[in-house]
Parts: sequence; C-alpha cells; structure tokens
Amino acid sequence: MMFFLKLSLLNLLRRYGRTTLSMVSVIVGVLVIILGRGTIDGLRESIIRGQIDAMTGHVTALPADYPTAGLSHPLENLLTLDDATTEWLNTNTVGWTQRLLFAPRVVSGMDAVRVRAIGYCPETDTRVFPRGDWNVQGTIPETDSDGILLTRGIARTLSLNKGDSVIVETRTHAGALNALQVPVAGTVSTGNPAIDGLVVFVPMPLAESLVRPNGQFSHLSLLLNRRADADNAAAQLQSLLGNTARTTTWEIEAAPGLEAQDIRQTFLDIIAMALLIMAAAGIANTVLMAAYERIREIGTLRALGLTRRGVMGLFVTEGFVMGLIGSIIGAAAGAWMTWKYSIQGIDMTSFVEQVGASDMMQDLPFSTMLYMNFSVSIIVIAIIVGVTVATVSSFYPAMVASSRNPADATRG
Amino acid sequence: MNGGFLIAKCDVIDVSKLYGSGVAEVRALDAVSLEIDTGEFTVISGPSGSGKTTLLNLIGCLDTPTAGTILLEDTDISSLGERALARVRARRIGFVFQSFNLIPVLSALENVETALHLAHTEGNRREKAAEMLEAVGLKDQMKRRPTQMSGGQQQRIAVARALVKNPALVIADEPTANLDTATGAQVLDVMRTMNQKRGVTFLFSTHDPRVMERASRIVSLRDGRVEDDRKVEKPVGAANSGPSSQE
Repeated sequence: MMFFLKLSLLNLLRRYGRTTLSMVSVIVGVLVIILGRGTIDGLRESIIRGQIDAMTGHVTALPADYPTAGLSHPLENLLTLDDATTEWLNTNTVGWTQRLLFAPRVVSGMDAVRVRAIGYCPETDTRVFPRGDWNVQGTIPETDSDGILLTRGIARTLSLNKGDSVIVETRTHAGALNALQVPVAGTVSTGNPAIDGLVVFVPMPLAESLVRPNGQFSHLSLLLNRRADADNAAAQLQSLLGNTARTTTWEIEAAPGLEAQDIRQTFLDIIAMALLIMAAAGIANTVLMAAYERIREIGTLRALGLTRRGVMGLFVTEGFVMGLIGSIIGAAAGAWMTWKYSIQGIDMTSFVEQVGASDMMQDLPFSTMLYMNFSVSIIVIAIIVGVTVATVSSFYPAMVASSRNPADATRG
Repeated sequence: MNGGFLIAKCDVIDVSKLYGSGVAEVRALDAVSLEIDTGEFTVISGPSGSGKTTLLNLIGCLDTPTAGTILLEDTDISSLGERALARVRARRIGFVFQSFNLIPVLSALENVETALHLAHTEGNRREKAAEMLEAVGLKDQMKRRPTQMSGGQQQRIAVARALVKNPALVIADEPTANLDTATGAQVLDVMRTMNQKRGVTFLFSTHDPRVMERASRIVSLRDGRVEDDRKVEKPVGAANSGPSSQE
C-alpha cells in the first residue's frame, strides 16, 4: 500500500505544474465552501444577535392587536403587569424590561421627520438589550430633563448634534396631541440598520411626559438562560398575560431574515458546487492525460502482475492524493481566515451605508459587525467533499487506463 | 544447482490466435505446438508478422489464445481468468522488453523491488533487489534513476527485475533491438550467465543474430506456423552444452 502511495506521489510530482493547477481548483472549491459557510452562518448569527440584542430579547409580549410591522405604534391598548407575572419574570428570566414604543414627529426648525421612539427604562433596559456595539456621541439620557438620544441616521437627516434641541410631537395614550421641546443628549450608532435609520431613544420618564401612558407600556421583553427555551417561556408568559397580550419570540421575528439567508446559502452552495465540478473536470483531465502518457508503464506493471483493479487503484490514488493535498491546503487557509474573522469580526457599517442598504434593511435587524462562524464540522465536511470529488473524478480515467490490453500497452 | 529458482516446462499445444472478425480476421498463430524444456535458452525467430510476439504474449499470460492449450508447469494458463493470469505473471514469469520499460520515477533499486511487491514476496525485498542488481553488475548504480543511465544499464535493470522474483520463465521480446552491438552483447552475456548459473529458462523473440548465436534452440515461425525447430550444439558463450542445473 505504501509502495503504491509513494508511486502515486512520485507520478504526481513528475508533472508538478499540471498537478498544482489541478489542485488549485480543489483548493478554491474547499476554500469557497468554508468561507461561504462561515460567512453565511456568521450573517445568520448576526441576524439572530441583532434581533435578540436590539429588538425582542428572547421573548417579547405586546398588545394583542399590535401591528406586526411598519411605523404604526398604537397606544390605545397598552399592557400592565400584575404581581404574579412580575414574580414569574423575576424567577424565570435572566432579566426583563418594559418599553413604550410610539411614533412621534421630530421637528428641527423647518424640518420634521416621523420616527420610531423607543421609551426605555434606564435601570433595566441593558439587562435585556446590551449596548456593547453602541457608538455614542454625547450621553445616554436617563431622566426627562436629559432629553433624547438620536440614532445617527436621523441626526444626519435633521443636521442635529448633541446639545441641539428639537420638538417632539406625539399623540398621548388618551389621543390628545402633545409636544415638548427637548435637548439632544447625544447621537448613537448601534450597528443595527433596523435601528440606526429611524429610531430615537427616549428615557421612560420623558416618554411618560410625552405619551402619558399611566404606567402602562407597549412591550415587555425578557432574556433567558438559553435562547432555545424561548418558545416555552413565551407560552408561559402568554398564559399569565391572557388575551389582552400576545407573545412572540426572537425566532418568529427573525424568520424572514433567516429565510433570506437560506436563499443566500443555496446560492452559495450552487457556486461551491460549480467550482467543485470544475475541480473534478480538472482532476479527471489530469489523471486522463497521465493515463494516456503512461500507457507503456501501465502495460509494464500489468506484465509484472498488477491486476486491472490494481491499475485503477494506482490512478484513483493519484486523484485521491491530489484531492487530499488540495483539500488540506484549502481547509487550512479557510480555517485560518474564518478563525481570524470569527474573533476579529468584519465591520460592514461603511459598506452597508455606501450601498444604501440601511434603507432596504430597515425591517431586517442584524449587526453590521459580522463575525464569521468558525466550525470544525464544516472544515471536516469541506475536506471530505474535496477528497471525494477528486477521487470520484479520477475513476473514469482510471478505468480507461486499466482497460488497456497488457500486451498492447507494453509497447506503448 | 539452480539457485532455488523454479524450473519451467512449458507446453504449447495446438494454439491459435485470431484478431478481428469477418473479412478483417487475421490469424496470427495457426495451430502452433511447442515444448519448451527446463533451462532452455530458446529463440523464436521469424520475419515481422510471423507471430513471434503473439506467441510470447500468450506464453507470458499477457493474452489468451483463441484455441488450444498452454501448460506452464502443468497449469493450463489458457483457461485462467484475468486475476489468475496476473498472479501467474507476478510470480512465475519475468519480462524483458525491447524498450526496457522501466518506471522512470523510480530508482534502479525501486524498479527491481516493484517486481517483488507485485509478487507479494516475503522477506527483505530491498536486500533481494540489491543482490540481484549486484549480480547483473549494477552494484554502484542502485540509487540512480533509469533516465540517468545508459541503454545497456537500463536493460540490465530490466533483467534484474525479471529475475529477482525467481520466475519459472523469462520472456524477452527483442531485448537487444535498442542497444548497440557491444552493449547488446554484454546484456546477452548477463542473461546467458543467469541461464547457466541459475538454470532459468529464457524465451526470446528476435531477429538479432547475436541472440541467435547464443541460443540453445531456435524456433522459426512463418505466417503463424512453426517452420523450423532446431537445437544448437555449441552456442556462443555457453560454458557447457546446457544450463548448470543440468550439469
């Protein structure tokens, strides 16, 4: 066995230029599988992270008739917490918080823009919605006199900076018009296009002054130990809140974005497949040329007692070795890159802004900091696929080589 | 003394070989019968197309006859399947080709070792291969690749490769055709010595008079039939009238 492995290696080195070119196609194919999978899985995780960290937590409860999308944030039927629900929340969650979403107009001089306002509890909001990726210019307001925090897109639209003041106009819970002049405490880039283009953050005391909800809220979000427990927790919370509320999970809310990822995944798989077919053709061609060039050697080995299966084994081994070396090189490069970018991350903020994708992605929460997914199983699968493609593609030329009559083959 | 080598007795009985069919049918061999005895240094001669190579291919298990029987040490090789023929080739028959047919990526030693690998020979293969190369006068050339060696040296590697597995029979198809006179004579002397010292049976196909003058028997073919079959009383280079095993 070792003898034939050595013979295969020597034969491959005999035409190292051609062998290298064939292996490059395997390297590229394996690299595309690992990087593509790493990127798509990273994007997938980014969407999930964006959904959980900025939008819903693991579970969110909201009024039963609340619209599922858009800038409509009705204030008629808001939620309240009873003691039993509060106790369940304190016992069964890592953290929970209330939010009041409303849709005011922010007016600056002659300019005005309708926004989504998130009224947050300064004490509890970060228990569910971390701010690690936030880039804040100024301060995060906590009281009604601190004012509001504008996301960067709105600040840019209205040409506002920290220290400026704006008028916030909104309907109250009772339906009256209300307006307050408030300072801009700061501007923020959260790294989430679904937030950064149209949201202002309003501390709950100021939100209450604007909306007058009488202690009620529109959203109750919570964080669990494991995100996989979200369905179960949502069901329990639903039974506690009754018919006036509906619960949703990160998984339900992120589903549209994840479906888009599935399409991207399929597209990428097709590209990887096409590259591997090219690799297969390259290897088949290399082995076939070797088979034609070495007819006399094949005849000699047959004369020395090598069987047809032995000849096939020799050529298939050459394909296998090419596939193995190419796959290992491709996997090593892919593993290094995915490992590097799984830790370091790729900041896509400027890219998203440049292509104007933030407008398109307003309903698609994801973090613009992309961390590739480093997966040992994907690396192993990519190596197996690369080796299998190379080995299988050498079968036909191996059959051609082994089918030669030894008496004819010895004469070349 | 035969050095532990197997001794061949090959019977070719009424063997025919046809190629093609219908109007394109060619009868390469036509009811050839031949008995090759132990330790013979036999030449099959004849013009091109007479059937020399076809006969050697059939005896060498590289091809199968259309009709007739070939017995090698009482085994009917004409009825064997592909794998069994390969096994016979691996263990009992050595080949020397006109164009040497060495594996260019392997050293002289590895080329000889290949025959032992394929014959699944027990023991230290490298040592056996080295001994055989020494016996054909290539002791100092073992690590060199065929492309770094002369034609005569390459053919001596081929002889060593044919003999290293202790075959019953060595088949040599025009072994001197690609060699100059002096080198061809040297290679023939090596084979004659092996024939005499170890009693190995050699079967040549050739037009080369240098080979024929060393042969102990000359079989002439014409149009696929045996035209003449004669023993040579005093072949050139023969220390005695027969191989040492019969001494």
